[in-house]
Amino acid sequence: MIILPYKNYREEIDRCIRLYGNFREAVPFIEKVFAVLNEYILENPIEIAAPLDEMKTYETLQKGQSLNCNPPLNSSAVIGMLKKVGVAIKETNTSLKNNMKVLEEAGERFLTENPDKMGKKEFMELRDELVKENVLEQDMATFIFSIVLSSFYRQYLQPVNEVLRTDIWEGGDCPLCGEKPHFGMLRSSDGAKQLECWLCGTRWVYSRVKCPYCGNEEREELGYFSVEGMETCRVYFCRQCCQYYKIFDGSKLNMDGAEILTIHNLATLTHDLLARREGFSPGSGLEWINQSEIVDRHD
Amino acid sequence: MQLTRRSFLKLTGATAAAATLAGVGLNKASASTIDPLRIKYTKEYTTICTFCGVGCGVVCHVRDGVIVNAEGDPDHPINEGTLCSKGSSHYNISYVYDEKGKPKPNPNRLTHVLYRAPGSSSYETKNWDWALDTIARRIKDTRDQNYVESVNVNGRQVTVNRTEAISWLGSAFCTDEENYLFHKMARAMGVINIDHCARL
Repeated sequence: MIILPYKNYREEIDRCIRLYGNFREAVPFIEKVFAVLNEYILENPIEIAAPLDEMKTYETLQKGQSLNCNPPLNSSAVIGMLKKVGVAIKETNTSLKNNMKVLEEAGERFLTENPDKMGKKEFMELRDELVKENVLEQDMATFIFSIVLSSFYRQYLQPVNEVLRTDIWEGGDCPLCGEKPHFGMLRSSDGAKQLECWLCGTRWVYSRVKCPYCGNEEREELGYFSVEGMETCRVYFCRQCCQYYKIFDGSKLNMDGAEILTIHNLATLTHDLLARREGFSPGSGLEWINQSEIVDRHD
Repeated sequence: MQLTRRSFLKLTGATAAAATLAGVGLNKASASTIDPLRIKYTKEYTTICTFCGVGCGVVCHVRDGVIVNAEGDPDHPINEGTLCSKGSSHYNISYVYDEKGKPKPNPNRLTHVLYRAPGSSSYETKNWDWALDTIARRIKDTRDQNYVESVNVNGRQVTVNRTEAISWLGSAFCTDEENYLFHKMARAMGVINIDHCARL
């Protein structure tokens, strides 16, 4: 069985164009990347996760512990997809040819040194090295590695995800893989705040007025901001831990449960920039903004 | 396998500038054109609907100290995010719409104490200190003047410690916790005529 985590990406891109005006410019690139991801997945199917012990899973979640499913990923498969995304970037902007060449070489070197399966942490270290060596800016590095790693996680863990009892989970981190969320949505049927794991795609309902990162429930320290004319996206923040995450209003999306929030996240990076300028940092640890872009608007 | 912090890259100056998302059309620079005033900060407060005794949870959105929206609280076990037509109109306690459909402060909303003296046909404005002192004084006087310590039941004096001159009507506009305290207070004063307006 082949699982395409971003199967209906074209419809989602169309929806994002309607909702967020400034996204249009990026559409050719986004379309190309998602087409490449789907193509790669179809050509290189991976083994999906075996079902988890239902009772053990239930007990673990009920204890408030995430299952922390972090499968080792096949190095050659990940680097292969990384290269494909690099080609899509190169085709969109030929001036990035050299950067993508170095990215490709770094991938090859990584593969030579780590030919077997590697964990998420090692790939994230590669990302940090590429940023450190000035091959990729932080935003590009976050984009490439999050999209590639999440493609594998979503394929691998989807069968587990579908039967996961998220209704008993009250934590702020992902019940399945333990990552911290970067975005979520307000379910249109009842307004419940559903957080989504950027990595494995698991969604779970979280308390409406509570910080998922530090657990703060003090109303005076919690809130959100939105931008006039772009109310579909809200940036929720906590003044205690000074972290933020983005929530999309499901009542304006009209597609409960089937949205590809990853694309909505890409279409609203402006909100990330505004959040950084307002002094908040991403609670997910995913930095979508380059240091050079963060200018204090009060200066 | 544990990796050490080694460099995967042996760069030879191949990259003049790092690749950014702006280079592929994902330009965040448009944010700089957003006037800071266009950013609206809002807080969410949870509360209980004041219309009936069901006690549905409500999330009120407050901007600059003013309510801008109210919706059902999805985390509340009673209503799970839903609200009836009355509950949905919480916003209109504070605001009504003018002829052009723009919100304006509700002119019928009481924002201070109004008092109509016995025999008077008009209301006068009072402050809260006066109102609370007057209510307390009248309750105390009525209770003291009509307090019954014991009654004769079949020729036997039975202690009752009550007043029948006061009755207490609870309110669905109050929370369960408030009504619990009111009930305790009424009992402590010897009030035995206690009722509630909610009929569900």
